[in-house]
Amino acid sequence: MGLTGQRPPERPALTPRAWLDSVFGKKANQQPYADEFEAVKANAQFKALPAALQANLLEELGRHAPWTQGRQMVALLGRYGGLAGLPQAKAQQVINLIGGTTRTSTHARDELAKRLADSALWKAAPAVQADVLSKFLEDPTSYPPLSAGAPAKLPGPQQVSMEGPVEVASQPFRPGAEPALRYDVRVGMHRVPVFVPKTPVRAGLHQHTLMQVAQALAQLPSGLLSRIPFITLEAKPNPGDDYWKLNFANFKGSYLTADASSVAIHPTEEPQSIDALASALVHEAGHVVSYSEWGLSAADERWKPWRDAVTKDVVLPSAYAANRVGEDFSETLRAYYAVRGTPAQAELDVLFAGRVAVLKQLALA
Amino acid sequence: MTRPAHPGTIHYHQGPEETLVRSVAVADVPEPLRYAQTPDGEVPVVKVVALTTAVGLELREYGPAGQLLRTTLSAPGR
Repeated sequence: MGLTGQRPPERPALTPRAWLDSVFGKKANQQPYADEFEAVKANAQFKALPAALQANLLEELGRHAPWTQGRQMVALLGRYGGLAGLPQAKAQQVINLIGGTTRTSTHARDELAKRLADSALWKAAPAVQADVLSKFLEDPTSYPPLSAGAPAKLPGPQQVSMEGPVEVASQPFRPGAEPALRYDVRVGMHRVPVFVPKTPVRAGLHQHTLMQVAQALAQLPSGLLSRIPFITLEAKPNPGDDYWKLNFANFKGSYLTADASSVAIHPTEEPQSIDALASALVHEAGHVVSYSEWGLSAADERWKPWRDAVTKDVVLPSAYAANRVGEDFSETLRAYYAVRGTPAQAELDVLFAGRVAVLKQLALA
Repeated sequence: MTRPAHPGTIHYHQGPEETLVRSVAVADVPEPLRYAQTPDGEVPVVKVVALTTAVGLELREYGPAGQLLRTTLSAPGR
């Protein structure tokens, strides 16, 4: 079957890969075109699409190497009549969902392939074909959250330096005030005060060194650094730990605590990596930012732009983000900063267009 | 700044559905967990919700008006 033809693809074998092989052939030299890029541009269904959708499809196609499953699925969507039957914004959501290289897009492609792998569907009326795409969009199990939730390494660190120490007679820490040393960690234009108690860390516990904190801060973006009022590098465990362990079976002791004015780093029973600290700092600093920008209650009207953005962008940054809109904000920051400055950022700019617009207003993207 | 009176009980919940685990009289809760410091002064903690993240728990402490006062990320598990 030629790729420009109107005949539907054959009913597939068992897997999306096998189905795509049946449509496109297993080898590049079996094709009448140099690659899917030329094939899709020659297709009648594609030519009938609005220019914006054509451009959108070709951009997504370009994210994948020739004759890969990703590229073939985008090409196939370009010749699927149902795409033209969707409102343009919805059509773009489908294209963006399946066109990328993220975990979300990879899963979404397989899921859509299963739904389109029906030769009867390719003969159906455009409204019926469009309905399949609508149902795909409405089913969040079709596209998993962007991140599985594990801490992601942030892109390359910035230059960091340190000033101090300065003696502080009485600095509040979680267990209470005590004498401390203040160091100022400088990252780019920003300065983050870090308070270190003079009391040594309790034997058997592990606390980050000041240098590790500086290295973690050096991974954070400028917009976030400027929002962290100060950090306390605690010597003693969080005073609530024993009580919380009684109430919550899986609680293994505090690592980071954030409120509207500071972030506390607690000593832990196991050593923690700098990357884990940087990732946790992004999440907790995200809470500090959202508290200060929009208030302590997510019911506050100031949270509306973020709530609206979450509704608009169908994809979640992580499964944990589904718990609360405030967690969505912090998890979005983690997901976004994990790809900032890499080619994948362009994909998130599209998938999270609503959220990224709000982040830009806050000078966080 | 005067510390406001505590309503008297802290409720502990688990999960996104906020299943009530237990309710405890504030007198039986350690002192540092009864109130949280905010820019407007100390606010009583009346609810704690534990949510499961990919690497552990996050505890969210709330005030009487439903405001989020403090979040604590647990140490990543091994």
